[in-house]
Amino acid sequence: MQKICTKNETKSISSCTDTNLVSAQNEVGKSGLTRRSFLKTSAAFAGAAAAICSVGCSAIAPGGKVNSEAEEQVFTGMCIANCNGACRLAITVREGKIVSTTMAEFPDPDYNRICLKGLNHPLRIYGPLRLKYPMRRVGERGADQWEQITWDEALTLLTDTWENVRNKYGASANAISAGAVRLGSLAPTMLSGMIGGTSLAASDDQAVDYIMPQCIGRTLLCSGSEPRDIKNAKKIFSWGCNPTNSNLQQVHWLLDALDNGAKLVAVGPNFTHMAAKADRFIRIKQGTDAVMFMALSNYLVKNDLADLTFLAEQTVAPFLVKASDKTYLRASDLGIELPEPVINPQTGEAIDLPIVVGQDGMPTVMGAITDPKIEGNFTFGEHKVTTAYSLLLDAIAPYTLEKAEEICGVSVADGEWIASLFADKEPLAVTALPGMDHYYNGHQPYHAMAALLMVSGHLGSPGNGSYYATYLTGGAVNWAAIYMPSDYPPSPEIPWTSLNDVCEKKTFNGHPQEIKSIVIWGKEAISGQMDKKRLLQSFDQMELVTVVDLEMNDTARYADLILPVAYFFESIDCAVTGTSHSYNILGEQAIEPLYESLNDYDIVVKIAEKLGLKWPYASKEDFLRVGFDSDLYKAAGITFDKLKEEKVMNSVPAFMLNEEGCLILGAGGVYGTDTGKAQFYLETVEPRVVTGIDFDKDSVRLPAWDPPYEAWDESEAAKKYSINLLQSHSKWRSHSTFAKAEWLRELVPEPVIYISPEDAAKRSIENGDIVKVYNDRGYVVIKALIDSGIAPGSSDLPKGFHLTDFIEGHYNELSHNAFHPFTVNNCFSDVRIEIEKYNGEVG
Amino acid sequence: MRLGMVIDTRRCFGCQTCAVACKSANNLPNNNWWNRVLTEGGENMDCPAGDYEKGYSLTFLPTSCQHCDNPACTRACPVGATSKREDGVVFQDYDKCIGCRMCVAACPYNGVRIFNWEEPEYYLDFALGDKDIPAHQKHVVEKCTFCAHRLAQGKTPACMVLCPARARFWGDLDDPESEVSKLINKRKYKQLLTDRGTNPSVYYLV
Ligand code: SF4
Ligand code: SF4
Repeated sequence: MQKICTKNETKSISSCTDTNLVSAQNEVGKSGLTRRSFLKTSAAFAGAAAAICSVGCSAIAPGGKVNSEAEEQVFTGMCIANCNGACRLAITVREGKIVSTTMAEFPDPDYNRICLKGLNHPLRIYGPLRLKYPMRRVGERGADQWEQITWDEALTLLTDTWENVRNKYGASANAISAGAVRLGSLAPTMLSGMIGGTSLAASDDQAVDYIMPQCIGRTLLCSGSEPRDIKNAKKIFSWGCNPTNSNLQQVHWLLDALDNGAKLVAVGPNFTHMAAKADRFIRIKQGTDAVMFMALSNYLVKNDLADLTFLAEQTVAPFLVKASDKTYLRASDLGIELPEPVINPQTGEAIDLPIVVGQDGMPTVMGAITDPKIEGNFTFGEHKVTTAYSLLLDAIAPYTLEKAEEICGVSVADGEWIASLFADKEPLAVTALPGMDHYYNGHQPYHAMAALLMVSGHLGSPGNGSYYATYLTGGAVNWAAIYMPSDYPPSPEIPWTSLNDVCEKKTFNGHPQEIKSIVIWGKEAISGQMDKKRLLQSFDQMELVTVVDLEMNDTARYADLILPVAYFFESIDCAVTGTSHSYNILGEQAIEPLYESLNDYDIVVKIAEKLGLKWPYASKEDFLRVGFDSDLYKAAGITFDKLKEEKVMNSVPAFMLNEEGCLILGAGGVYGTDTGKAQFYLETVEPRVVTGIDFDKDSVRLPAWDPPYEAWDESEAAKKYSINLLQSHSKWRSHSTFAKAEWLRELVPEPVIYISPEDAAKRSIENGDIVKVYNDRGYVVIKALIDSGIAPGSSDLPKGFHLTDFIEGHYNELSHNAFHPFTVNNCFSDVRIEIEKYNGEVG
Repeated sequence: MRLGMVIDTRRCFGCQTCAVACKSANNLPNNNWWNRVLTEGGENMDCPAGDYEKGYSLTFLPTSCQHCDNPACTRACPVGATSKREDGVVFQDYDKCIGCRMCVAACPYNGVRIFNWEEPEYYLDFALGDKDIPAHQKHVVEKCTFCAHRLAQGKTPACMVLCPARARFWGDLDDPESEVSKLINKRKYKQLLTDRGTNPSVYYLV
């Protein structure tokens, strides 16, 4: 019996597992299973078992037969992983314990869904990382030394700290970061208002989330058509993303389109599993997609392939931009009064309609004529104006396909081929998840992509448009009641991106600001925010860092106070937002909260009691009832009590759906934007969050491109560091969620960085070598795998592993905290690094 | 009756859901995988072969016991612990297995039969997964049973619930009207190692 590896010979069982998979693969795929290594396989697995169980798991053999008489109860719920999948789960309870979480049916089986991760909940619920009781730090911060305390002691510590901080620095120095996808778990978002503190707001995916609704508007669900409409596309681009990893529940519709004869083109720096399904994979340099989109628009225009009718009818193309202040010329500017004013249904006020120019050169209000001019400069009275379309043409003029070849590395021939697909009138969809968002210039590719969809007329009808991840069924929720209960007005927000600046400079938006205590409620900040070292320095300034969570994750390890939250299936709740489908799902209570954990809502109520504050709701169910009390929910026939009976209900009222039951963005040529048109031009420019950092507003009105902050050969960082680092979304984890799930860890036991064969050869790195990845900010020591799918000059370190999983350092030491003041967004993938073979001791 | 599976390799994107569904339903011991999703591509799991200039290739092969119509393992087993049932399922009876591993040697499909060298171990101290699964034992060979315990309840195997790619199909290959029969009539397919004469009941659409 020959062993492939043992615990001592290699760092972990990964190599065993990998070797098995690969050797079996080679045999099946290449040499026809001639080498029989069955004994090796079993031996390796057996040898590895001890290694795993030394990490603190129970080894009592529970492999006995559970016979048919054992009573089982099945509950309904939803997988909460912040992956957007929002899969409905069947939660099976036997002898009081959850023994499996599996797929539960939707009313429409097209939405049935589950993935490798969602099957692992029992391991998390009962696993060694589960937080059991309130704990106070006793050692150094981060030393993972704790003492158990009671809930009363914990909440006294918390509220006393708030009071001390308020007395010394003002109430706004108490910050709370809370957010959730379940209605009941939104209760903590009220806390900052209750204590007059600061709300720390999420800053992830915010470039795409901010720009897309401004360009193409949003439906009740999201800024895009319902994902399953992609079935109707005949041409599909998977652009700058990898849906098979990051949004796998939409992939089956894309595959249906392929089965129906659609063509799939994958565009991105690295070869992905989506690219493996594509007719063609076209490599583009990271952070340059905006250039390509603009060059494609430019090519279509120059070759008379632009859809001028679509532009005139459905976009802002004919609107006239005033040279003076860049706003649209409107009826009031010309003293035009309409006999019957058009009323904005939301505000009830008359709309000051934009002016367009007829073919006769006469100005008139939007909608009065069907064929306005879309090009030209005009003067009406004192107003010098240019059509928005002419401004777009100027903006994209520098970007030819030749220029794109230079900047993006996409050949002119490939550019022409892509352009020919956009020129075609068959339905064309771009699935562009937030992959391109994680750059300093992260808004630019989406803005330019939206403009291209307008220039080519691929918007507003089935099978056309962009399909992106962020997708919220929360449109119907009675948010006002949750965020603005009468007693507690919403508190001022500071984005997570600005936390370090505030802690260092003690100002925010020009005002003095301190943050001296922070409550991080259900967020893994250390692996999910930028620049870990700076973040920990910010923590160092705090009088109290409180983490409220399910598991001992990296952020919890750095806390002073930990409050344990009940698992998703341990209290009643409803999933209402953060999903990629339109259903609201009841989350039943399958078991009692384990140990001393409490559900989020109950913790907030306890804090309110401790503070002597009035809590506006009689019970959690009462809170849920109020959340469902909205006109839109009424239109969809949903109340909380109805949902309790039916367990899963479609939140979109039927009148919004087309014959196929799909919600189509821009249906009927009406877009959910300020002007009701698709907008490649932004008349109003406001930063997403006012940080007080200036930027040129005119620079973001039209599609544009600035080189990435670091991930670019001519960047300042590139003078010292020659490789771009991408933090991709792995199928094995959703961010850091499921990072420790033991079944998954048997298959991917350790973090790796994927590098190109070219970069490996230059550095004499071999497959499986341990490398040091570093830049000025920090480093990580990690295994390198050579992947020919990675572009030379690029690398990919799939995010989400915990600090304790790395040989040394952590990948978020490498990221930086710079952000664009327009979008105020984390740019995880705009990072430059160097890689070298690691010479230190490992083990 | 010949129960079998059809897996569409043009749809499968290697997500491993079927592998984990099997692990969960059958309460598999630590490091045992009856269903493994193999990469057909480059040297590392999930990585392609080829390069940008010449083109890449990357597909996936979910691989478990092939439930052969003409199994090599059953002939090799000296005690009849592995046998083919009327419905085509190649069954493994742990209580009869003497741990000689003749079946493992005879099976041409590497890694689908697993021998428990040690007492099986688990992460939690109670049994997960379905009820009615036979107790896992030391010193016996185990493998995919097409979830025989679920078939007995009129359910499909766990890996069929649910493939996110909708790449997996299940049914009676003897019934010309079944979805699986129709698929292999309509589409090009491969079976693994046809030269061994085992005639697997797992078909891969290509
Ligand atoms: S992790 Fe996401 S895709 Fe997977 S089961 Fe959970 S919600 Fe579904
Ligand atoms: S679940 Fe489906 S897509 Fe995923 S690996 Fe299995 S067969 Fe392939």
